[in-house]
Amino acid sequence: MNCAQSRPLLGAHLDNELDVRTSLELEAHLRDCAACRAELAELRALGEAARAHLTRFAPAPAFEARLATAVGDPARRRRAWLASAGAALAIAAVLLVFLRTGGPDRRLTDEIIDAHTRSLLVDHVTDVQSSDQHAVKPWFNGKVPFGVPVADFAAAGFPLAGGRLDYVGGREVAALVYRRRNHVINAFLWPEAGEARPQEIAARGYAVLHFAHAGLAWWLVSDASPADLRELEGLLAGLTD
Amino acid sequence: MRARSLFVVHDPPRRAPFRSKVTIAAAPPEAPIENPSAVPRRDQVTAFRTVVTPHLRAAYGLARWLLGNDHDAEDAAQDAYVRAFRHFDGWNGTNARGWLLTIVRRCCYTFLARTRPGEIGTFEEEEHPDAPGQPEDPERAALRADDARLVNRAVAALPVEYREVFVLRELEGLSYREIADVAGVPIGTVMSRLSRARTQLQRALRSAGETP
Repeated sequence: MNCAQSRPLLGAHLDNELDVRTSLELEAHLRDCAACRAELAELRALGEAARAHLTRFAPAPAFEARLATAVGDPARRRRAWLASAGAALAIAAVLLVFLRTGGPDRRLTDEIIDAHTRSLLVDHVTDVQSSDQHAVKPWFNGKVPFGVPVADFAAAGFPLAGGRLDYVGGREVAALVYRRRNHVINAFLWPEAGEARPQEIAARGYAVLHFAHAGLAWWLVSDASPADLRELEGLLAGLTD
Repeated sequence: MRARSLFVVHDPPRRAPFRSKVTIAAAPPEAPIENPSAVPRRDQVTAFRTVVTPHLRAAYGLARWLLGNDHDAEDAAQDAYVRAFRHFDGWNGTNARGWLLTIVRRCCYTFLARTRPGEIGTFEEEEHPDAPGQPEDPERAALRADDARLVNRAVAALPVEYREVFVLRELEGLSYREIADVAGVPIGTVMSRLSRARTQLQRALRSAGETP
């Protein structure tokens, strides 16, 4: 590969959009060509600058209210919610307190979501950061008293980002961290007897999916779509079939 | 029953295609939807909002970047929202964001064609003067990528067809396949437009760095 062939591919290389063969050919050329390496570095800087500086325009609250009326239904509750995010938060907090006294699953759902948001807030998503299932699986040995099935599902669009220990429902649990495009999915698991069919729970703006299979309870949580969680559930359930 | 307002639980069939009954009782915006066409009309509105609301920001952001001002972006985004609702039955149930962005993009182009036709198709797809691959001047100025105002101005100055692929890639993080679906062009075209967008941005940010 020469410079003229390499240049138009550099961006796609940064975006991970080249097929393996072209990637390898390009990397071989980059090893030999300082000019193309400099160009690649500049393109990388351009991408970083764009992501850091480009304005992420947000619709005005009044506009969102206009949309709500645009499709007919008055949806008072929704507009009220939009009109006062603060009030909504307060109500949510009150409801949460109320729900703390609810069934164990609701409390657990809350804890699961708390653990998920905590992991994102403190930027501590993974204890062991690796897309290599053979590095993540042994990391859990001795840290949790059960075998953790680990697999990378990058080919299916769920690359493994790593693993973490967490504390949910009064016990130490394993958390596998997957990525779905820009979203983080936490998959919490611990030993539990009995089978449970997948149950979807939408709460506090998060999608949560619970199932139990082959002696393990799984809780998936993310701001990705419920469909994404269903897909991942199918892959995870397949691990222990 | 108060709990229902915050938690909606339902039970999808294990690994079976969309069949289950939807439970949307006083649903929050994030309630799961299985089969939008099967629910009655009032729930249809709720179902639509549930699907679309998480992506409003992306939709508005795309319209704003394509049209350049809030007023036009709001008009186009509202048009897209109404159209999306009207065609909600036809949505295939996957990738709501891509579906909505496709409609928004189409509305923006319709708007541009009507009000500012000069902004569409201002470049030659095949014969582009800045075909990449030219050896650079080793003395060229460094990229001025640290100035948010310059970066925004440079992207805003791109032809709309380049701007959309660049924004969808860098702000929305869409894959080339998804961009191709939203923009209605082949993946190869996405790749070449993106490459040319970046070449133009490099040049703009380099000349912006030079002292006038």
